[in-house]
Amino acid sequence: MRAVDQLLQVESLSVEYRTGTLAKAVQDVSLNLKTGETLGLVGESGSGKSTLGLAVMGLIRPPGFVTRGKIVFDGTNLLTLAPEQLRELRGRKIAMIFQDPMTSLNPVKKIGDHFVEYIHAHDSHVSEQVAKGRAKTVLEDLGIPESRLNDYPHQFSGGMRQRVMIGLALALEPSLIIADEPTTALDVIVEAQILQQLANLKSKYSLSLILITHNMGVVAEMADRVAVMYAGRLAEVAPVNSIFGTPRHPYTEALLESIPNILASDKVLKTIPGTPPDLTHPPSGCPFHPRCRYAFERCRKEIPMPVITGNESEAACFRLEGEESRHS
Amino acid sequence: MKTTQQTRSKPQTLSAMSRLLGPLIGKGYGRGMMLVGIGITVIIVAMSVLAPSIAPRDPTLIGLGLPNNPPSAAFPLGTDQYGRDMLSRIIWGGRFILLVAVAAVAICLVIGLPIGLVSAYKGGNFDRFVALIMDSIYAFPSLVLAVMIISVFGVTIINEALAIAVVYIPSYFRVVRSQVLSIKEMPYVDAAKSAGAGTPSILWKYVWPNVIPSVVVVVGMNFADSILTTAGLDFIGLGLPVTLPDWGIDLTYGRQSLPLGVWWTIVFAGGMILLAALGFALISEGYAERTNPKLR
Amino acid sequence: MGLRDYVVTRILLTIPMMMILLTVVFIVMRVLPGNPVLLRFEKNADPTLIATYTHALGLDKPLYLQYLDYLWGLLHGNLGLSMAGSFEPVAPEITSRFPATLELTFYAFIVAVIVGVLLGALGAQKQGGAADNSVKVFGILIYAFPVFFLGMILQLIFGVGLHILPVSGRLDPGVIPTSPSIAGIHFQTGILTVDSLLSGNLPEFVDAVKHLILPATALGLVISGTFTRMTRTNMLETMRADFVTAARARGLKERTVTYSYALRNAILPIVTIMGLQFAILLSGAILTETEFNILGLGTYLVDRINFRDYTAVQGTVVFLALLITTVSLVVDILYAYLDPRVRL
Repeated sequence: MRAVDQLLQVESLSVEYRTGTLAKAVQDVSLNLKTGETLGLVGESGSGKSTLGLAVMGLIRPPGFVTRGKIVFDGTNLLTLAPEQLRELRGRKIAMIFQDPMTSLNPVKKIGDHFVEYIHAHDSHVSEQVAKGRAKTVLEDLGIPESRLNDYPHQFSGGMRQRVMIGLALALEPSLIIADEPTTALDVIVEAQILQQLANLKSKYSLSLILITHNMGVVAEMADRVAVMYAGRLAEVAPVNSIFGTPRHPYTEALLESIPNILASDKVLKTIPGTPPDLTHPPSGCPFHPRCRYAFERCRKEIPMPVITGNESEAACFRLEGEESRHS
Repeated sequence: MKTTQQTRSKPQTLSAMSRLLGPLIGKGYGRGMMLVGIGITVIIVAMSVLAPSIAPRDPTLIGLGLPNNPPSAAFPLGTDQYGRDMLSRIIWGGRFILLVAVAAVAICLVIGLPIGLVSAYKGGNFDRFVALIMDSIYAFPSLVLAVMIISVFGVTIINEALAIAVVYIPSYFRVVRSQVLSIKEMPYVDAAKSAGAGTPSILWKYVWPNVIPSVVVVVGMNFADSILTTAGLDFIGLGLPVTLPDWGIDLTYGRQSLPLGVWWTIVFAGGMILLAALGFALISEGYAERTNPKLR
Repeated sequence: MGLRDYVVTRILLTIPMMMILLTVVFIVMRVLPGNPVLLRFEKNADPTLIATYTHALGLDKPLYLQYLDYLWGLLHGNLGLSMAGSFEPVAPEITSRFPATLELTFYAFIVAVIVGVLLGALGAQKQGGAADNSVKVFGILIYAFPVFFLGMILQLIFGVGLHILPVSGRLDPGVIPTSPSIAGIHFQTGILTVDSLLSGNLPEFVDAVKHLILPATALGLVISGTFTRMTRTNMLETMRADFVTAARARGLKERTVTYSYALRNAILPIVTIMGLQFAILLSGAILTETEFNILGLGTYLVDRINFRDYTAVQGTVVFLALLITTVSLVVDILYAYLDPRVRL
């Protein structure tokens, strides 16, 4: 992996939650993101993908703690920054879009005020008029008329609220947007529109995007590369075509198989046997081994390290160990 | 091992008892508070129940010692203005207050819970009508209502309990009703209905176990408020005769000796009322913290 | 729905609520005891005396007529007649005693809100730490404290012990309350702190305030427990809320997030309990007035009870019921104003 145009480099990141019991939400995850790239981050609920997104934003608060690793953004390790520096970065260089548009906006503030306050927080010299003007431009791109700036969040539909959120994220033209399940709470038609708009805006504003989702269809449509997480660990990373064409990790394989295929000859839905692990008592060795069809003795005892399986591809599985020598 | 997804979509078929007692065991927030509360309450209840055996002297006998004597070897908690032994009075002093509290809570549970369950489950205009009545009473100050009832009907355990219960029933009603209303909409209730379950069985198996934690919290507060209201009634003059041992009475009449510098009567009597109310309040708060994830 | 529609609906709802309360009071005080005059005079009283009283108070009329008289009277500000000898109307006495209670309750409320919200916010910010635990414990402890016991302790410390604050009454003997005038017209609200300021009588104002410090603090502290708990819980919930995280994600200053996002939304539910807290304040006021010898509605009620003046007691309770319903109404409207979502 070349270091030149890496916008974001996550190295061996670990995050835990201590609430009486200890839950290791993210364990030893290393990822890279190039400028202008869309990285799809997939996994089930509890896989740690949202936590990873929050960690990059510096939004992990007690009872959550970042215990290890580095998050290097544009050359700086975010974990070494003072809170005030981190705050300036947030919203300005890195922005986040959240899952539930119902609850992501301040219920007692008008939409216009959300923008004004936000812009002011980063540059107090900007006049209210200019700030509102910016809001208007951004929202226009998203199909929301200027008249709605005086409305309250509860007066918008879910889709429009999400658009407002996207508008907020773009208002200060960040270089990286982390979208945490941006369309999960929306119906499919609105979802399609939002994704389309995201794609347009991405090229218009030259953004890099981390798209966190559990929906493989969204990933197939939007992502350049895909990272698959399971139980807080990285299972596999590969370009989108490779992931869908030749998945190397048993979990990725199983995930893809479980997508209902209307053209398939057998009508039985394939599922992954077993249940996702309890993060306070994770299985020994490879976290996926209790549910893996290929599991053998070693999987129970050791945690597999990522093995390079191709160009910009790697997967953490003992079955692939022989391949490393072929690709190094 | 259950996951969060599974417990959300599966009906609560855990028995009522485990829902009730579950929070008592295991680590986590609120446990300290709850245990301290239980400790205090158990000691006070035990003291009141065992009073005849553990009180050193007859609490109603006057002239046992010099009046208004500070704590001494013979009288560890001092004497009141009538020369009665404060220690014995304190040991005996909680009985009436606790009995009233128990009676009040019992009445509330017997009346408030069923009304809340049925009204919320039935819904419609019946529910709205009952809720309106409850809302009207809810805001009424308990002491004023108690004063009204006691002044007319006299001071007995039942009267005081009733007076306190009337104002507290709406709390139970509300708590139960809000739980029922949200559970009513859950898919597993529909599932049970389509499987042929009748209302009583749905109420018992699905609704009731979920309602229990909130009810326990209200019960704890009910006890605490009852104790405070009973003491308040004593203070106004609507309490027991002054000869009987009662913390509220001692606090009220001990006040007369205050200018003389007699602090022990009111401090011990008042302190006991405080402790009793505190014990129950701690249980209630601790339990609430254990069962309400939002509080963590 | 808009604020206006909500207000109208809410006012209309108040009417059945008031009717229910008034009827309950009537049933308890008038219907159930039988003849209150008998209660007043006990067994071996002179029958003609009882008959005179019964007739003078209109208690010999059929019940439904009494009920109608009762309601009709209320519309005219008639709260009944006292049983104390000359059958004086109760209303004037109540209105003259009420301002003292209102003043005490008001200042106690301010103490409660300030202490409660500040401590609650502090606890929420420093969650899990020593400060938070102290706040939690304090909240419960102060709630369990009988208000008159707290009053006694304050009296002991500041009045008897340190001798710096008065322990009874509203003014020192010898200080005469002045009545302010506007354009030559004299009026008196009865609220000493207001009257004295309006008439420019600063010594009276200071004296009134000194007399209010201990009782208002005692009552206010006891009520603050609920506010503390509620503020803390709401703040915790709100600080975890998505829109708060989203606000942080936009890089807003922590101070903005805490106050404009978290606190602003957290105190909304507190407004809803203010109506309820007012009722609790009234209960506490009765006890506080008795303890501090303040001649307000609370002491009037206690006084009338000790005299077995049941009709006066009824009048007072009715007054309180109407007062509470009105406060409830105002609070609900205030809440709708503050939270646009409620107006549906």
